[in-house]
Amino acid sequence: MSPEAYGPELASLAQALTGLSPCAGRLDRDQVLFRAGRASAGQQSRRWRTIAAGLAALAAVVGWGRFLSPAPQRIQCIVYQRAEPAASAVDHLVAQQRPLQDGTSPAAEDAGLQTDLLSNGRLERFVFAWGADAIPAPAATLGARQRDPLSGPRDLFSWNQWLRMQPP
Amino acid sequence: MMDPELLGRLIDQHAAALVLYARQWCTVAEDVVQEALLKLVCQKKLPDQIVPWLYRVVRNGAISAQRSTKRRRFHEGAAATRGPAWFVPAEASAIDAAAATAALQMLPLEQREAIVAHLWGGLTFEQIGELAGTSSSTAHRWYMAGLLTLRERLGAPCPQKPTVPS
Repeated sequence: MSPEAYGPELASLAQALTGLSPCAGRLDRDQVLFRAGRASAGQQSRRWRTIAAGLAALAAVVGWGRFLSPAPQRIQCIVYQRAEPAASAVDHLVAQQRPLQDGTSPAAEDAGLQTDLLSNGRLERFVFAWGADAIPAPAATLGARQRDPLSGPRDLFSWNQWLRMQPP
Repeated sequence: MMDPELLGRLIDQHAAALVLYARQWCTVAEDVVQEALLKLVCQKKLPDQIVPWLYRVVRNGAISAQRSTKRRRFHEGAAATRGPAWFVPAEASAIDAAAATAALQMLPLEQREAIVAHLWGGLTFEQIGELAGTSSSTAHRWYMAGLLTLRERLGAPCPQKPTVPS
């Protein structure tokens, strides 16, 4: 039932009432727009604040976790390494002053026996200490090693010494 | 986010009617309407029907404000009961604004709500029924009853009810 159903008078009353303009009162258009802009900007800053707070909380949790976790256990490892004894200078001097027995110097013989065991570094140190002459020739060393010890020395001086040392 | 131009247009077209609607419950109608508009701005997705949505938010806000106003009046006394004018006084208007305000204020709340929402808010009776939690026919009945009462109070004779042909 519309107002028209009651007649034109009720419809005209509705029309007349509509002609009255509602009073907006203290509502300020500019203030509403300003507050709306601030509210929308506040929403964005709130989002960034939330992200920053979340990251700060994460950092705090990680830091606290590190603080609470036990200290890393120190593991002691013992590594055994074969150390080759360095030939002392005194040993080499004594070996040089020893009389020659089979034509080769004792130092060279001693060195010759260990040639195959010498590392490059040791050989280098050896050369620096005693010179290149102290290095035995590989053939001589090999021959001295393969020689039968009972066959006796080669040169005359050594033969005399060797015979003197033999039991009668 | 809401377009400022749309917000300005909404304020121009509906703010005064919304204030009048909120005045049916409370005296701080402007604040209620402003808060409703700010709520609309903060919506991530705009409602499908903005104006009915605004009326709903204003209604809820006005009812909440009425409750708090009642508590405050209990302490402050009756000095705050006088409210602001509901309509802009106009010489050309056929109805006196103060008289219309007084007549409206004497109506039951549901009739006032239906008249204000339909005449000044432009809502359909279906939308008014949704707002008030009732059917559209009930909202229409409230509206008609309110109009008849207003007619009596504003000094016009009550029209004859139409005869229904049998």
